[in-house]
Amino acid sequence: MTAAHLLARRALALAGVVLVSSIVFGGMLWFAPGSSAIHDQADSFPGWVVFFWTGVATWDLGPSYRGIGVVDLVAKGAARTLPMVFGALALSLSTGLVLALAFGDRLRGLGRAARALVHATSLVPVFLLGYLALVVFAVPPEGWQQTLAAVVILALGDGMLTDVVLVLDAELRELQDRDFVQSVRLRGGPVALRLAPHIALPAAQLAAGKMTFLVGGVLILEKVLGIQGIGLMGYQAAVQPDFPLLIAITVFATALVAATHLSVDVLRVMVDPRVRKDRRTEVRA
Amino acid sequence: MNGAPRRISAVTVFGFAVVAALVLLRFAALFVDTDPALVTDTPMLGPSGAHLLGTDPLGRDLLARMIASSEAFFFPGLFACALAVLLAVPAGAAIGYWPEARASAAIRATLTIVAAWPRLVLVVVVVAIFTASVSDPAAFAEVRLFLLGGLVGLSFVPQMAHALAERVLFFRREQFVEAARAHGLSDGRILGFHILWANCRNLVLRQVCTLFGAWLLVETSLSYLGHYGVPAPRPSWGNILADVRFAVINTRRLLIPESWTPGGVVDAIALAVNEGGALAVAAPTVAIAVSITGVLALGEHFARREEGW
Amino acid sequence: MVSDPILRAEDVWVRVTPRGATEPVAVVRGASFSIPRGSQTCVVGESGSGKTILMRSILGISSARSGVTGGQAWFQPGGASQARAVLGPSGRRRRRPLARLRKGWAGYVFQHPQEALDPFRTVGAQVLDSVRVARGGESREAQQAKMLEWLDAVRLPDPRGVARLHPHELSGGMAQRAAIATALGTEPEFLVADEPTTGLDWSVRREIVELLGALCRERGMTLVLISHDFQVVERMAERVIVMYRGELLEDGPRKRFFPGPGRHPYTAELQTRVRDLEEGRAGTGQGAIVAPERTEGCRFVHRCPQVVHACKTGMPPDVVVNNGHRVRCHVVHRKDA
Repeated sequence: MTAAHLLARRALALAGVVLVSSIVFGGMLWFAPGSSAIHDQADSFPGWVVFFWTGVATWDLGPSYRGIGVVDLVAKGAARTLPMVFGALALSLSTGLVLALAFGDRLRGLGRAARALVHATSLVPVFLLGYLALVVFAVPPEGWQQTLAAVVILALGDGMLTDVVLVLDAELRELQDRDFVQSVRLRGGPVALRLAPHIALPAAQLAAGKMTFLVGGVLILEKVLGIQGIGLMGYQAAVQPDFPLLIAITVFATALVAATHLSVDVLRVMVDPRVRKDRRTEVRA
Repeated sequence: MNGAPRRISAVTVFGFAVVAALVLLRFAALFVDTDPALVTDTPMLGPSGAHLLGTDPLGRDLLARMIASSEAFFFPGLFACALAVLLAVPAGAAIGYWPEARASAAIRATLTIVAAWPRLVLVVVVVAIFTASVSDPAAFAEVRLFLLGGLVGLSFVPQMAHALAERVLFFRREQFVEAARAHGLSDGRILGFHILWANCRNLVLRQVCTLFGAWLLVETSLSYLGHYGVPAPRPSWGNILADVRFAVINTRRLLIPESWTPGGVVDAIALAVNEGGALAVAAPTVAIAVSITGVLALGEHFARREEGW
Repeated sequence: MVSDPILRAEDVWVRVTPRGATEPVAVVRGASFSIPRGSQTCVVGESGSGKTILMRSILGISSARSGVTGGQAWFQPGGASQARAVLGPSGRRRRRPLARLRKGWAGYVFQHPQEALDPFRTVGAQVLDSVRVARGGESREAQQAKMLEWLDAVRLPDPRGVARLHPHELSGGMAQRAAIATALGTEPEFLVADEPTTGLDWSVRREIVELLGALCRERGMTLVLISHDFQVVERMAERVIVMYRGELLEDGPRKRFFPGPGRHPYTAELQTRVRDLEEGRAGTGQGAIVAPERTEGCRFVHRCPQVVHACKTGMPPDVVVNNGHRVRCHVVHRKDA
């Protein structure tokens, strides 16, 4: 199986996931009693699905109840939200790597205390960290400060940093003891350089796994701090309720998660030759 | 280590202590004599003999509300765990034990789709649809927590099933399974007893703990936001924090004193405690953080058992 | 003892903290030995005897769970007037014991070749890494040529083709040859081969061992071969060190062991068992290895056929029974005294 073949298969599977998700959530809306809302958009449910996906393809999902185009709203919200999500991922992965390296040796006294502090802070829910930030600073932050606060809180809360540190720490420990690393160490080669691809893969996998949590966290945090992103938009759409917008945001969130998983596959194919090709030369030595 | 007595770690003690405390709290909630919804006194009192933790901005006894909050998460959380185990264990066992079967492929595809739904998004969307479509919103508010629990449990199924499947697949290839087959044991008995019960117990318990921690997080988060959590007069650690928010932010005495001298800070803290704001923030914060940490610590205990420490 | 040692170790203790345990367990208990320059020395013992971790600890490539807790060791590079301390003084932990020696001065051939090679990089790139350590100043083309030369030297067919392959595309024997090339690429003076044939088919075992021996002789390298296989030892060893449960029991030149038996009852037992296997008889070993720890007397007392009273009270002293031949055994001690 070639690399392109493999990636194409994965991409197809992920597209299927997004499609089925839209059908499931759309179906819930369509068949739920009392929600005539999306019935305005098509005559039958299959007709609605076709309408929805042609809408996605043509960048036009019709207006939300606010009278603004759904696609434009999602795009606007995403522009505010995505930097926070990816910023949080980057921050927690880099901090996690530094902490994992620092924790590498057996810990005593201060190191143990620092580690306990990181874990204790990290296990606090995102909404609570946002709330405490509000209480401490008394006014909701604005502009770039708002983004920065959100990035820090998302990188820390809901157990994010704890999980990252634990996973990377375990991976690093295991890697450090492996023979090929020891052999690089023995000949005085660049150990960190050789470790990098081996640690990048589990880190990316971890990041993809954390994506669903981040999307949930951002939903809550935008509401708490009053950030006009896609999360707050989705929450308001759910409360109002504004179903065309809600469906669009749900499918967007699912697609975001799916895309992250796909990029991990791309990385794996790039880094690991064992996935890339399957030719095995059976030459007897 | 075999033979040597197992050392009881701090993690284990902490985990069991917190879970015992949560159960006790739920039990105590049956006997809270102050009706938590009842307005009893002046708002925002500091701690006193009558109100050990003071009162909230509506003059309700904070301690009673803290205890009664356990109603909001306890049984819905157990419901979430039960649902997840009921769905995930058969699914995980099936795809682990018969990895090649066509049904396993279907289960795997379903799990992939469910795993792609962000947990909170799923919860919010489904509850929004239900809220919009039910005829009697007041009656629905009563069962809403169980719906939330069910959804969180459902969203946890892929994670639990995959973890279990990996273990089952591992054991399927072990020699003792081969031996059991050679002795004529049925697949059901091998899978049910020798693999699942004897070797995957701790793994499932660990996942259940993680799920309960995630549920606490979702419940307090949504209750804090107000629309989808605990219905209004009933307390949750989340909405206790929300209720006290404006009072605390407005006074700002809580953490930012007039003068940053040590005496000034002490005065400010004393004032904050006396006016009730500090405790109203601190008590639910600590309760949430300690419960989640404790439940996860118990999960860590099972993880260590699983790995045979 | 040995006139011109390349490595000298005195009373080295290594302790390992098993997972989940708090107290470390001593796995090497005061090993003292010397390796003569240019020799081929075999370290023999069953699994768990501490032979691997002893050599890895001295080279500083042991697991993070283990640590040298006592003793000292010195390397004496060729041409240097002074020995370089790599361990100790006792208790002090050196993170990179070889830091003061030339990079690539020592090499290591691991037990599992697939583990010893980076799965993400081609064989050529990895051997080239080693070549760069030794010949950093040379041109890229010269390094490339040297790399192919090494792949040829370990008798890999079609070096150019193999250089482009990844480790998972090689068979076990080929991977071990490639791993040997990466170890030799730094042109070490001192090479440790840790059971280099364990993971391989019987048909290629002998070839690999003989290849190692030949390469070391050609280049004047000192080879330490860790093995539990007495047949391999008999073919290779100029000097033999026998370990059992962390204790160094016997250390001497080849002629004291072959045709055998060795002086220590444990060495004799090992050799008997090998002969039994060769002649198709069932083993006559006296039971499995005992958990390391909790013992008063000699480490071998549980299995020894010639126990005297002293064996149950203390570890016997190191006895030099002959020039360069040491045995730790109460019985031998008594006979000689």
